[in-house]
Amino acid sequence: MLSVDAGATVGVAVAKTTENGGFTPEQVAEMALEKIIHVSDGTVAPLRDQAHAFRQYIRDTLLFYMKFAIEQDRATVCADLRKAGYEELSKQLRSI
Amino acid sequence: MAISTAMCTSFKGELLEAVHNFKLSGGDTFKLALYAIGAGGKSSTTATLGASTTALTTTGEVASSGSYATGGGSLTRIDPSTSGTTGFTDFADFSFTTATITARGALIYNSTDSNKAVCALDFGGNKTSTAGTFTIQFPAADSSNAIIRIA
Repeated sequence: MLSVDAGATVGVAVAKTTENGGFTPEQVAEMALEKIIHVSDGTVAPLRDQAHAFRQYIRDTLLFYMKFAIEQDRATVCADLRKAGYEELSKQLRSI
Repeated sequence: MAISTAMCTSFKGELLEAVHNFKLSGGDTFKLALYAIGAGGKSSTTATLGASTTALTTTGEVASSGSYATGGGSLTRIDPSTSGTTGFTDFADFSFTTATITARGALIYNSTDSNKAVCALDFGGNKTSTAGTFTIQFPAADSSNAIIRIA
């Protein structure tokens, strides 16, 4: 008799929620980070420390550019609103 | 009545019949629907999802809210790949926005092919968004974590 064993597995999906608004850049950066780099607890200490340091660098970089992207997008929306004659709304959005 | 994380048994058989195509280019449309246990579902219905689920069911599906509409949303496929002796595929994280939802789990199904079930997901407890974002974060697309793996 000839047979081949194969196991089919479902991974872990996580639900994350917010109230009265969206996720913060910090939360989104953490989500992205979980896709980019995972440091195993079983890794030997010097390598683990190095990996954690790199992870922190990636987190900071992601966070900086996420905030920058939000600022730039808001600036574009504000400019569009101003051009369309909604000066006050543009000012309010800018101040958030 | 419960929701348990499982690859649907019917899906395993359908894989051998070439029913499902997860390729990024030209693949089938896979959707994710959210389900409640208890009062969160439509008409207070309660979901039962697991290995024996064969297709999309409206029993216990959460009510429409914000960007969540009946049947849920279309997922973005990640090209199937292999590493070592494991084949795997995954999806990009998915969000329903401006939504007030309480869900205990989800069903991924193939809307291209008669809404056939792929797998059921148990969130481990009720998750609630209130006029906010309900995100399903999929695991990293690798041989150890991806949402669908065949070893």
